[in-house]
Amino acid sequence: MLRTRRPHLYKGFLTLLFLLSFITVDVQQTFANTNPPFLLFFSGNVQGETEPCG
Amino acid sequence: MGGLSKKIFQINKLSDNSSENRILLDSGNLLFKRSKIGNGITQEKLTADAIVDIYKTIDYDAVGVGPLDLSAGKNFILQSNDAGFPWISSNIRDHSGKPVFKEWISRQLGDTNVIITALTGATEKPIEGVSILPWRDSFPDVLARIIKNNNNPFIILLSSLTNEENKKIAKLLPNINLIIGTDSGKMNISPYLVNNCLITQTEKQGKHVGLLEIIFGEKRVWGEDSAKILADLQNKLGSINWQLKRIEKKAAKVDNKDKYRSTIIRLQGEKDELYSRIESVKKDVVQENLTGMINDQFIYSFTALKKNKPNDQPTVEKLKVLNLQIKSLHKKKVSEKNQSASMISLTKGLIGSAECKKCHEVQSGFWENTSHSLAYSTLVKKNKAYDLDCLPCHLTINASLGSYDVNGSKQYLSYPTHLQSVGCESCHGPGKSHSENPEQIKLTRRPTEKTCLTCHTQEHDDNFDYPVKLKRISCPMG
Repeated sequence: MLRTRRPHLYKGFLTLLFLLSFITVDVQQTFANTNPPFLLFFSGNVQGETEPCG
Repeated sequence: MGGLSKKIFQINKLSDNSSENRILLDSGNLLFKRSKIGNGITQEKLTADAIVDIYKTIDYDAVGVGPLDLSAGKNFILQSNDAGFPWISSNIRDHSGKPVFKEWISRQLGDTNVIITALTGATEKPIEGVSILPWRDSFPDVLARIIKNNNNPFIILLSSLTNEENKKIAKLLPNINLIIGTDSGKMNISPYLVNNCLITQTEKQGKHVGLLEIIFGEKRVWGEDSAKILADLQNKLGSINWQLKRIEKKAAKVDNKDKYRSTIIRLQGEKDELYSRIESVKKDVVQENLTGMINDQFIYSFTALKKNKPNDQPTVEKLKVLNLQIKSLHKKKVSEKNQSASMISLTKGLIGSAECKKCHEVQSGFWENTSHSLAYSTLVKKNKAYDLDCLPCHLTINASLGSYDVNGSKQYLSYPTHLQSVGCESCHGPGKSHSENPEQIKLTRRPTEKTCLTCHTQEHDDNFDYPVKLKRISCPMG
């Protein structure tokens, strides 16, 4: 019905579906190789400093 | 800036209070500022004990032994080592040639076996009972044993050698993946690659905490995620194709051909270049999918531990206890006070701001509203009025003495009350002779930058700007 009576809406709907499929593929690609990162905190040369004097 | 309680708050916050996916490392020179620490109980040893205790509460994985950590002698550091503190050093040996500390430790992170080892830089003076071997003599052998005993390890070196030495190590020993340094001449060093080794470090005195977020691959090669690069490149290509189509449409109209020719040539060039990059990255992706091996990847950040950052409350409580211990230690010394010759030299010619006020009322009124006048009461409020590290810069001291002798100057503990706080004479010099003969003997009107830098050092005041600060404390005329 949409195809015959409202061809512009039908085309718009198809375009939207087409674009959404790209987004899904992109998200899948981005996270395909991604494990959660490990957090490595580092410091050095603290030299006995515990807190500023004031 | 800085502070252990701020550092620990940030670590807990950024890792959601979970130690499962985090690793905590310190590359050394943790305990002391000086190369020689006196016998018996001292402020520095009490502070060192408190730091070790605080590091233990958040389960540090490894701390490299730096030359300054040996300043109180072998036995002092061995006490915490024997109690399970994770000191490591691969080149400190006893007289029989045996390692004094663990040479390396391992930690399993997901599928990756992370090995942490350490190299200790040379001490200023020999330390009884230990010898520190040059890295060239000892480290290649340690590294060979690490590689032999571990399957595809990710190797981290905590180094208290200079940044230049670290670069040499990275060039000569390609199996090391990460070096965390302590070169005291350097500020924060953003991670940079030498061969396949990443080198980084934080600025001294605990002003920043560094963070590397690492995704381990299997190649033991630093790089990027090829699948993500490919997706980015394809997005770029899509955008260029769209632009090209639009321009070509416009150029198709009569009279427009010459106008758009150069743009079309440029875009076409970019498109061709992208095509060839995409083809090359596609090959990487195929290879990675076949072998299942991807690069190690990282992003980094340095968090400045500024005044406005929140504190970890349990650490704050521990530091309060430390301040009380220091107070109690030094109160005893005040009761044993003697007005030594060096005290007389420290206060020579000083009369105190109250005397200055008798003639310079306007200026004294202005001074009373500056933070200089509150310097001592700030310490009292923070329970740090007995802290020898802090005291010298919160008192009026003869500025002509140049740099303050902080080391072992217990005279500061029994300093005359009228000279507590940074008074007029801290900037203008001793006022005794001027007060006796004001017409003949004039004082310095404006303190030099050198005078201010005695206390406003880079270490204590990162933002010190002489002209700006001078304006702020300049007394009114009249």
